[in-house]
Amino acid sequence: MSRSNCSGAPALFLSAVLVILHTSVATAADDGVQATLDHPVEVAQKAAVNALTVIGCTIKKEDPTYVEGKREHKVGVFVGSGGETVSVTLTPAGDGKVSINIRTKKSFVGMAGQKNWDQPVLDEMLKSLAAPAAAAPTQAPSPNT
Amino acid sequence: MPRMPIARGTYVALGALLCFSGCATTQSHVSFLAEHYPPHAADAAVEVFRDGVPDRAFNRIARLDVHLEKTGFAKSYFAEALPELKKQARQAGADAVIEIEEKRSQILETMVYHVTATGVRYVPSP
Repeated sequence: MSRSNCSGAPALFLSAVLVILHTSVATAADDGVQATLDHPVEVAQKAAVNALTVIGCTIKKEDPTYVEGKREHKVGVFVGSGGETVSVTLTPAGDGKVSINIRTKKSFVGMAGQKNWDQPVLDEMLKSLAAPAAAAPTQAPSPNT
Repeated sequence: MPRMPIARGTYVALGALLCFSGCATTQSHVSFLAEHYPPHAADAAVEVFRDGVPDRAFNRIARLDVHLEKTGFAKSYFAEALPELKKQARQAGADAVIEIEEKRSQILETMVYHVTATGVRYVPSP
């Protein structure tokens, strides 16, 4: 075998790795995390958008009862990360409450660098809802002078 | 054959590029808390309060988020997020940024850095 015959192999391998890291095939989904929050659906929806933003999602769908975001693929030295699609479904539960269902869909390729974001999103939503700005989103003058 | 040294050098350079640059992304998001305000000029001054709040009266008008991710175990720092934070503040019509909160996490080789802040608008003096 001549050396020139082998010269394309590393390039092919490198190309294959790059293609794999950039390819997204949505497959695996989990059972999600469910919770009931003592907030109106419109407030919880805003908190869901904030939570998805905090975990690095680009918001792809934003309806009054459904928010979906996707984390971009990042090429890495070893496995990279990203490619997950995270959704929050909101269902009014009466008495000013809302039921939420958070789900993470991982893509088949690049799964090694992906994680389940259900609990982190719920944690961020709770944090966002506890913040004064979210609880009172009106334009309130600060008490400072 | 004279081709090999050139090809080898190319692969080494590519490998080094991947190893030392990795991938970096920056995302940002503005969420108005209530009323929307017109954006400020691109070169408008934005005060940044890492601690405390402005001396003058203000209204909280927007939540600002800046998200940075880098692969290859490379960390991000506040100075890198600051230009985007100010840009978002200007777009929101904010005069200053307060209540800055930094959050770091890691996903294997990806280092995640997120900054959440509040954009405020000064109340005009009477």
